[in-house]
Amino acid sequence: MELLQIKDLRIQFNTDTGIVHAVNGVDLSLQEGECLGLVGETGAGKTTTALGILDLIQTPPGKIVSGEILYKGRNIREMKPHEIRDLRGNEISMIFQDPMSALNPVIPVGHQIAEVIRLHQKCSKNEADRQMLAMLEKVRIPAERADEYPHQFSGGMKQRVVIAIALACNPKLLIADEPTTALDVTIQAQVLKMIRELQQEIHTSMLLITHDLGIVAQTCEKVAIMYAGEIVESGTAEDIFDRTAHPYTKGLFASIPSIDRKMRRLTPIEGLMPDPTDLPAGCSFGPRCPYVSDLCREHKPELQEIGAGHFCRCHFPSQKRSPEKEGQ
Amino acid sequence: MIRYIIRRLFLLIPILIGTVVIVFTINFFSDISPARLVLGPTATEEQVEAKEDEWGLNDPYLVQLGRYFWRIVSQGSLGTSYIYNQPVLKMIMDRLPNTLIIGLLAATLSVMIGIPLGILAAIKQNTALDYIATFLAILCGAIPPFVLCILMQLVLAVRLHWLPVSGIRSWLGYIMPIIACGVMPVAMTCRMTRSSMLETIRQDYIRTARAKGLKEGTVIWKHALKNALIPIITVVGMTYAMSLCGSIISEAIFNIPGLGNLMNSSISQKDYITNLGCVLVAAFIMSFVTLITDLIYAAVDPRIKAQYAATGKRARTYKRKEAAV
Repeated sequence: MELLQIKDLRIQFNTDTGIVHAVNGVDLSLQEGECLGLVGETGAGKTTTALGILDLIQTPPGKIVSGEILYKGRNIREMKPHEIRDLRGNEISMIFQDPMSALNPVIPVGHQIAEVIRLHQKCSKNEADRQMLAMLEKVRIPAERADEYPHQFSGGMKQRVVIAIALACNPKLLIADEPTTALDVTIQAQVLKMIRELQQEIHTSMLLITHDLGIVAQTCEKVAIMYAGEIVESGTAEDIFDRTAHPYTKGLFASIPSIDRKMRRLTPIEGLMPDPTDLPAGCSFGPRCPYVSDLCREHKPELQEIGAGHFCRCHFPSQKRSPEKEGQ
Repeated sequence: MIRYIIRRLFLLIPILIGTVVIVFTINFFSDISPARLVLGPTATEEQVEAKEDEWGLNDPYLVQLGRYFWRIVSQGSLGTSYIYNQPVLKMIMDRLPNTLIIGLLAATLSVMIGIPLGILAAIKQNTALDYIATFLAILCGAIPPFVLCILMQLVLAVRLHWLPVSGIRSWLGYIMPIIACGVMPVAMTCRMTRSSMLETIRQDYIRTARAKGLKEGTVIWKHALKNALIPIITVVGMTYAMSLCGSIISEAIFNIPGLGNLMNSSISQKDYITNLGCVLVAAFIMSFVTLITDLIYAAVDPRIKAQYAATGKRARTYKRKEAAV
């Protein structure tokens, strides 16, 4: 059975300039022990989707309009507030994008970790402290620094504290929202490796949100590409990397430098993401797509299965490799 | 930390000296003689001259100023009032408790009402409750205290006979002055709490706290409030500092023998030496409350505490470097 299944999730934000359609019918599914990479550029709705899973969308202005979020078969949207609170931090936990602002500046880091342990395991203060120290050791922070405050830690250490908070209660599902984006390149690999190791140690499923396909290649078995609040392509890592079907995914690959391809310049995807208050009537990637046709401009493509477990939202999915790759 | 406190206490000395010099200078150049006021219009020019000599008012500027400071250091005395012929310090000490009681209660009242109201308005943003709280805060802030004092006297005392019009013969007499002094700070505290809280609950770490599965109450009280407190402490500290120095207007209207009233009468009676004493005490209270406010900052925010400690450490290393040179 799926650990997490999202069906047709729609999230909107009511703003002064109009309704922002942040997430428009997202379908995702995640098996137990699996690692799913959710990839897309800034503003594609990745973080909003993740916050939606934990029901952490600020309402107002945000609102989950429709859809189902099934966790172990139960719809989170129909749960009572206290049931959702029991899930948060306990069964489903989240690593946030920016460790600089994700920790409370006036509470010692040790306490911030122990707090979540005490809350969910209903244990004594001493027992929570003992587990907290063990957790600190796991993320390789010396135990004697438990009484220090976030401003006394470096960015990488803060992110390790955030990881410790997220994993303190051995969650079933870990949502890592761009866990390395705010960090130095030198620390990124180290933090990512740590997340991966701990994830395997406690058999957690992971939803890894990122815009870095390199990280996905290293980490995830399954990948979903998100664009303008929709999943445009999803499948196994092999499907996405070797049998790229959607023009947007191809564009993403063309814009990453590669060691074995000799090229002067990267090929960016021309144009910008459509205005989420005013999405195009047809394919939302249409305005930027090099293969766009009249059909794309008028009719929105549906997500269709083009191979076993490989889905693509395009009228003309190609199983062939991208033109650049073919040239080699 | 203790080093920081000691340093701040030493800083009090130049602040107080500066205050005395400024007020003394203004009084010095005033051309109305307190001796003439004391002796009345019938006194001869010679009698006035003799009185001024007795008080040392005809000495040069620096001699008078020096004498004032010397008296404080050697005898711990603020001089003798020209008008009442009593030690100034004793007059102030007789009146200070009244001012402190009213000031303390007014400021505390404003904190007890303002902060909860502000928090409520923030967490129920854009609801009827928020609008009512904001409206009340603006209303309270918009009424000038003297209008409020007179209105209260008219309604509560003259019309309804619930409270005495003025004076503090019984505890009932304190009620109107406390309200009069407390209304403006309630408004300030409430609005500052609301905006600070609103800013805090949008922070990422509040989202982290919610993602841990904490109850909304715990999120607000434990994670948000402590972070929102810094700007609130500034306002509350100012409220205490100002209330404890006494209000000239409400003490005059309600005829309360307090510091503000003494300051007021000492100005109109040209009792310069009493005036100087009052200002000195007020400046002391102000600086002292500010120091306490700064210490509370450090208690609330570890980053500020680290700063205080760091400045101390830096000062020490500088000294060591100087010694080495």
